[in-house]
Amino acid sequence: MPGSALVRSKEEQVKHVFSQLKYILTLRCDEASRLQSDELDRPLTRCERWALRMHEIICRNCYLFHKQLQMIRSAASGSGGEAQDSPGLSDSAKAKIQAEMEKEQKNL
Amino acid sequence: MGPWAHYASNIRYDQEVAGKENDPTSWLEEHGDILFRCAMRCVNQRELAEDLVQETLVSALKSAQTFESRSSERTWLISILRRRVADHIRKKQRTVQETQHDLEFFDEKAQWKNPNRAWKEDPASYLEDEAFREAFECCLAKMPPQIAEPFMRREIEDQDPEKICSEMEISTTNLSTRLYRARLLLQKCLEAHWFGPRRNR
Repeated sequence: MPGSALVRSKEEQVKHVFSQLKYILTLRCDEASRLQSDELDRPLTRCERWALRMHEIICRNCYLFHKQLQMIRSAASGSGGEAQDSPGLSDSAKAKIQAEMEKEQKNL
Repeated sequence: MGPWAHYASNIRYDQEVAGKENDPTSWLEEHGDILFRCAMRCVNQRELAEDLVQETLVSALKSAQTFESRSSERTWLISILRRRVADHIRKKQRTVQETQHDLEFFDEKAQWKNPNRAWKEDPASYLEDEAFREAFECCLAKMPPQIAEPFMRREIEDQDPEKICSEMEISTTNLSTRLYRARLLLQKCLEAHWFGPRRNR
């Protein structure tokens, strides 16, 4: 991935800008999906972010994959829904757990 | 902010009751319902969720001494619950022995082999859907463990990437590769096995 090295001379700077531009304009689907996954675990560099967002505009499949990744994350974490109004523990379950806990506490 | 922060965000409340923290007799009354809802979100089976809450509270009792008051009691209990949920899926993993090593997602032009479907936009509608829940667990259980393990740690237990790397003794790049594969496999498996909403173009 271009753009991580320290840039010094003028010539190198120009080269660097072009390699970034090339990266942004020619990102492929496999690279894009990798970036989408990485984005869930680390912040992307500016160059990566631009490349990815541009790609998502023109590529429907990758756009959909992005949405699916978000869905997978909320499904795995159990968040995303309104948990507050769903029912809590039933009384019988509470009583059972209470008994189990008391039993455990006696054993300690 | 992790995905579970939603449940643990009641910090002010936790500070208010800080005085009576670490009193096991109040756990069930104060946190039982929240824990149960969290569990229901993850397993969507009433009995199983109740069992997970019970296991959580009982194991919390055993380790009450190790509880550090710098994290709130509820956060601590939720982290135990998360581990229980992940363990539940790990157990299931051993019973399902079907391996699919198809990682051919892209063609030689680096484009998607199969077009992705448009899933419904609203995550809540998935979570209520029992069929989705089941497909999700089944797909996770089918994944090779070396891929599923980091995924579960990251997404279900909500651990930091650095922590997973150091505990599993793998590099950051290796971890992100595994997570990437896990997500691709999961996405593909869900598209194939979960016959929820059709593609709508």
